[in-house]
Amino acid sequence: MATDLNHIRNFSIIAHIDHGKSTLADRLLEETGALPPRQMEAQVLDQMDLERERGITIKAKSVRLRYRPQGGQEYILNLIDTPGHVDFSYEVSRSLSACEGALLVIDAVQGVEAQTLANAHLAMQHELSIVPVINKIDLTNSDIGLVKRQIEEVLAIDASEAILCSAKQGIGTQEVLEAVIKRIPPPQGSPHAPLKALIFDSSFDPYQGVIVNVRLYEGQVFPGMRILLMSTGAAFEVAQVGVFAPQMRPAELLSAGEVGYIIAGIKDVRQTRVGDTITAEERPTGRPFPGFKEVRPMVFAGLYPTESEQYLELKEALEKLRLNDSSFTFEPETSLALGFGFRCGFLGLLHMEIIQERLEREFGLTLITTAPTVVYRVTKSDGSVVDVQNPSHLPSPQQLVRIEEPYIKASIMAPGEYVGQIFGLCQEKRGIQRGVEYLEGGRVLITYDLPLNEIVMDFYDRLKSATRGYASLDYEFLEYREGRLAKLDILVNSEPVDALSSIVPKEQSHLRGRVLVERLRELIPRQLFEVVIQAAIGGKVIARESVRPLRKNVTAKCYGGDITRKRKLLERQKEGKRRMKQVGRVEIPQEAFMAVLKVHAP
Amino acid sequence: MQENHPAPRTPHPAPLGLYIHIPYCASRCYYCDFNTYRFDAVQAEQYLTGLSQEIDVWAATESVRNRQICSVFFGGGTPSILEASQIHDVLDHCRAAFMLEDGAEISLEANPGTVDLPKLRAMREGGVNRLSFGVQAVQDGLLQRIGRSHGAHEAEQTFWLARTAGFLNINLDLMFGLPGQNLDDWVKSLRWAIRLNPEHLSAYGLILEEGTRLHHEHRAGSLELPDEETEAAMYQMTIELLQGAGFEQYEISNFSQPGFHCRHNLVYWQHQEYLGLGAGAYSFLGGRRFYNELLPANYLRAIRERGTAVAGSEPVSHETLRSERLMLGLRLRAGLDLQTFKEMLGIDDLSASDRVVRLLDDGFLGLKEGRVQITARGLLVANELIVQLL
Repeated sequence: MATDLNHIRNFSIIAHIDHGKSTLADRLLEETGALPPRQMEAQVLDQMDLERERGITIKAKSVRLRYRPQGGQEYILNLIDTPGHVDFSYEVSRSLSACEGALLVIDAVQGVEAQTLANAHLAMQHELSIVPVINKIDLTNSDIGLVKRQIEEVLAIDASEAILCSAKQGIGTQEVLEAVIKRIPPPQGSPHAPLKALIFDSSFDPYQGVIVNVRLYEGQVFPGMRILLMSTGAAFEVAQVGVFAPQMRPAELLSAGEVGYIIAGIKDVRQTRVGDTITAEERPTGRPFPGFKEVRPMVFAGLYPTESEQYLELKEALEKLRLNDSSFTFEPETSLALGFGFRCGFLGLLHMEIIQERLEREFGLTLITTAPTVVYRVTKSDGSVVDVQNPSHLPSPQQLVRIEEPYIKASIMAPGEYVGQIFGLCQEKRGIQRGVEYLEGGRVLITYDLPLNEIVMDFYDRLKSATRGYASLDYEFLEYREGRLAKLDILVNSEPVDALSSIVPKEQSHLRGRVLVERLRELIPRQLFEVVIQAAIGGKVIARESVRPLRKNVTAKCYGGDITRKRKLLERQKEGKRRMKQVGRVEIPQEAFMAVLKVHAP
Repeated sequence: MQENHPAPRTPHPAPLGLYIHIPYCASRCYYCDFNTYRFDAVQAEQYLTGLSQEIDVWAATESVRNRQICSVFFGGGTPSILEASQIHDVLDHCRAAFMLEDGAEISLEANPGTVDLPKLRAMREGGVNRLSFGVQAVQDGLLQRIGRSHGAHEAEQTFWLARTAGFLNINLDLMFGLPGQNLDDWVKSLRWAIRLNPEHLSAYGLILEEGTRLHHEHRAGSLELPDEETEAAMYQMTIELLQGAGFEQYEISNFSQPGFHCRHNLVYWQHQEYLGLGAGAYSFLGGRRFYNELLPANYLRAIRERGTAVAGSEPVSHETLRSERLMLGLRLRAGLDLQTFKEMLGIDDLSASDRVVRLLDDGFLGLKEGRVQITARGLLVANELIVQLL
């Protein structure tokens, strides 16, 4: 198995969303014969339905390609596909550290975007060789010259050797493969040194247990060998090793420089954390891979079944999803309004949406999701510090000394004419400006420190609409900072609804309270009786609206013998109700719980 | 059906309702989405030939041949657009083919202006014993607005002609919530009807069905409909005025003098079985719901080719049966008997359902003489109540 290191290349493809990363990956698979063209399903590497539908990569994975340049010897090219979203930036960073080089794909029409920049910087931090690839050159409105200037000026990468390509049309893909061989260095490392392998992803298979995706730096791994996971100290016996080609193919061994998988009877993905080092139990490496950290969920939300009988089903479904996703957490939670459910932790909003959608789609559950929130760090008057993941659990003002909230550094890239709108939005979202840089081609790079909670709210949607979709956004966690914050409570027919509480900046609390009750009045349908909605801060009501009772809903018509039609009309109304949660006597639709996110001055 | 010695007819305990669809009208009213087409005498004649074949085929089936027929209902369309002799023939054929109960209710829908005294007399002699007139409103302007081809005066005249012809069971259909109609207009319609003193009154609220002219107008924004408050007042006024005049409200939109509930509609609401004949007619027979080919031409071809014209059918699952019985039973003012109600909800005791307890406490549902009913207060929001219970 062990190929001469000089004939191995480990690389990944990085790009802003929609710049054509997955299409290029598909083309490379096709060109190298990893899959014959007729077996190609668009975007082979994105295996989950959701990944294909949304055109994003959620999980990192690798595929082994064989490539023989004209008249030359065969090369093994390991393509490591990285997740394409800021929620998964730690996974991206680990995937990149498994590579020696990266193809940086840039759309010939869109040019350099925020994620292009973020990904390029990440690749530089990992000291990867970067090969710029300008994609979609077949589009009539492409501007190769401009994109090249952006690459040089914004990314400080020599663009003279950028590869011009159209992955869709198959133009330039041979040059891409040539460049992988010529411009990306081969891996190094001794197969005789103690085993040192980096986990960059893992997944769960019901028959084989956890399948760990690894990059070997030193040593070898083979069936029968005992391995040690260095962050936990847990040891296992290897049952199988192999490569993805792209299907799993067992091998005799994996050796330094190679990329593949290990199966070792591991039962839980939480034992195989991304970034951890695997070594030999007998002869452990003295130099585990640096920078391992446990990924912690940044965003929390309550998930509740609309029908309380589905609680156990929901629990089982969450357990199944966690088998494959160690960064997702959940624990039981009880809400006065929503009953029994779970407080779930996610890496970000996309991660949350994905889990939510999979629960509904793959497990047939109907869920109420409360508005996502960040984790607040609260210092109480007794000196203790607690993490608050649920706004309704914020201690009372009397017990509260300090609230801190997470801040991020946001990089926004947009055409210059939208600078005014972006400043306005960031201002409203409590941002602190860090820099404004005017770039080639009339684009601007704006950096702000922003509370993460504002991103969790409607920041991205608002940014998109303020810039007609032209702005792109990337961000990274900065630190916790003290905030002037207060809890905004919502009362429905005088009963507080814990699931509608939110933590808001004090200076905007009255405005947000007013806007929120107005939104709720629009969202809560008329019922058999009047519904009064109030917003309160510290027990004091600051806004009130009411939903007047349903006046008339009766079908005074004769459908004759067509009973089915009449029944279906009522069943449709019934279907609408399934998306609602009975809170006390009031039926509240799912959207109402999300309304908290979309509260801003009209 | 190839038995040499047909078994003697022993009546099935539950009688059937028989619906006969006549899919022809002089013109289509602007609110109407029923299965009806412009009248043509030649086509109608062919249609009746098909109908006659369909009667024979069904009458010979096991599921029908031993069943008493408790009601025959000519609906449409405008059945009164046919010649009296044609109706007579259909009825004679039914009597010969089916086991019609003595005193079966035989209803026919008629439009004012499509009948004169001789025709009414002939229909009465032919066996029709109940007439249902589509009056809708008594303001000529409103009638025009919804595409009716008669005036209020004509309606009254036709009513008295029917009485003269010997009809002692007459229904009048009225509609509220019409474009341009105000509460006062509606009260006038009701008062007019009360003065005529028919045995039965149906008060229907306008529903904008897709594909109708009014629906188009509504989408184009050119329809001034009464607001919800007015519509609610119209409905409440209906109940108040008609009850005051001695009518009993026995269903959400149906009122009658004592003893004159519509037998045929009760078949639907009490979840009894019925056979529908003619284009697009619906049946509920042997635990299945099915319907005929919609277009008269397709219906006729199917009858010619295979004797029946069933175009689609669905078995009624236990779950569906449950929703239907709730939905239909609660539309009746008498409601559902407690035992059935509990069975339909799958509960042993009313207190087992928070929803039921709440609706009873709030006075939307009531318990009377061992039956669960929608209260007067609940009627206006009957759909909401039924949906909550489904």
